[in-house]
Amino acid sequence: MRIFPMLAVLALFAAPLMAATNEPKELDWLELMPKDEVDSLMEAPTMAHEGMFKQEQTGSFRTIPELDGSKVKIAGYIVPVEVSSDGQMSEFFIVPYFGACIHVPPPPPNQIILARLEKPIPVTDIYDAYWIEGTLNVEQIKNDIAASAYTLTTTKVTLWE
Amino acid sequence: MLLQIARASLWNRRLSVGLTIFTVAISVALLLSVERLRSETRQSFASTISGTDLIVGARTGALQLLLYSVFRIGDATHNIRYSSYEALLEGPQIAWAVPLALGDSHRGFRVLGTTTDYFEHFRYADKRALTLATGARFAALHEAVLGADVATKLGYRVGDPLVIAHGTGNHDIMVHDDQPFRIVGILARTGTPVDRTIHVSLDSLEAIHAEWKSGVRIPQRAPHSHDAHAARDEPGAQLAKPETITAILVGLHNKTAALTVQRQINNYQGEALLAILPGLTLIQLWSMLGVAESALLLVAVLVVVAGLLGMCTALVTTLNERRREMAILRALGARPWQIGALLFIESAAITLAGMLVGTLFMLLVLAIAAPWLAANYGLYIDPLAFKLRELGLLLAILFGGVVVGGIPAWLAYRRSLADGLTIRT
Repeated sequence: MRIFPMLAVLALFAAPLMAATNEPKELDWLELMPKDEVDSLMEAPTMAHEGMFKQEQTGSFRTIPELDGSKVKIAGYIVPVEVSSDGQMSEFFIVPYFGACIHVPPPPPNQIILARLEKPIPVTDIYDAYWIEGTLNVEQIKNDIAASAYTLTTTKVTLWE
Repeated sequence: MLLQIARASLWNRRLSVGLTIFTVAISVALLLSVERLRSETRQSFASTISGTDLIVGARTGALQLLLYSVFRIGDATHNIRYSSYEALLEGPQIAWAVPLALGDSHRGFRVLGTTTDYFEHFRYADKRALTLATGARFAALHEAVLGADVATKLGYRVGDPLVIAHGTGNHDIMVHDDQPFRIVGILARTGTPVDRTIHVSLDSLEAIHAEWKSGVRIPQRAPHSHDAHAARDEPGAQLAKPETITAILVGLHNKTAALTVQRQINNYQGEALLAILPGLTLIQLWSMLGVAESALLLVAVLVVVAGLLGMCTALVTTLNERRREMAILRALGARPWQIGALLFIESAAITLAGMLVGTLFMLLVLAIAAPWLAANYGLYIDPLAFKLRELGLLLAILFGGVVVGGIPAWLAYRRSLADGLTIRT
């Protein structure tokens, strides 16, 4: 369990959506997906177990621009991405479920948040779930196909209980 | 006053005290070396790759792919087709992909066949890029760029010739001496396995292997050999594409696509491929090594405990010999607590001396072991890199030494009242 300096948390007051309160909003994973995408998933046929090399993602890079800049708190698992040179974790993915579940595809890109840490933290247990707090940003990526991605300027990582 | 007495008394028993210090020193050196190896290994591993989103290779274990592609530890189980690399490049998410071909060496240093994109995209230690200390990147066939260690160990300079050996042994028996390379550049030191690598272009590797299609060199039967020589003579001439490569480093436009692309690569119909997330695999490697690390650290801590107990035993046994000494001190007006304090000071002094000697000993051992570890395991240990944690360990040892010293001190305090003046038989 790591508690970051309160200063860092206080510095994030200016989140436009949360002007009234300083408490981060608890975010549900499906809120990261556009409404129509969620609906189409509801109606989608069961997953076919096949894969091709150049398989296109179906609309899963679409993000919700209104979420940009909001202070959020989300529960998920940690997948380390960048390890800093002193052996600590500086970037990680937050994913809704853990592990290489081989039967169904991995979470689509708009169900993955790239969390960045100002100050790297020791690597946490990848089999545990965590509450991760910070400011959510919708990053535009120049490449057309990979239009946007969620990133989180992370201020606090605590064990999920 | 007490300090002076303690010093004189210790000096009087210098042989046994010296041996005790040595015992403590050995245990301290062991603990510090284990701790240093542990932290430096992690750091060394963590610095080796950065900024690469996926590593792709033949299907094998994730750890093994990471070890042979990036750390140059062990060998690839299988190569992958060059056509898979070309297919991968067409993927919409792929920002860049750098092919790596391993399998040859020069006097124990691995030769890496790649493209100039490698210098562009490869990152180590917090996304630092490779820089050239002297010279330039390879541009034509039979040009080589050396890692810093290769250049210093073998005393090579830009412009020197270099003959690559077939396979990855330490001695060059089967050599590609028909096609010598020329050194065109030397990279700045990185503290990673890059320092121990010789970089050449994929085409060059293909060219030197043109005559080796049957596993041995049979020049007369090789249809490609003329192409290779021709290509060497006229730079810019097109060679046949390489058929296989060992691994691919991949960068993505959008990092959050990593899991999806990984899945697509693992499901590739063309051949059995494996894609790994380097960060995650590194963590998995640590969680595996963690058990061994903890066991080693535990043993080292126990050795320190044994060392301190040895010191305690030595002090307690001398108490009998020193009955007269204590009696004289008491007769001269020393109070019981002063006798106790004397023993405390002695144990603290022995512990301190042991720590000092042990630290020096550790530095010596690591200084000797560092080049060997770098050469054989690709681990870069800096003997002089002191960490806060080590200071903590040393303080803990000092504390332990003083606590253990409490036993003889207490005994001396108790006995000094009457003991020694009464003559026993």
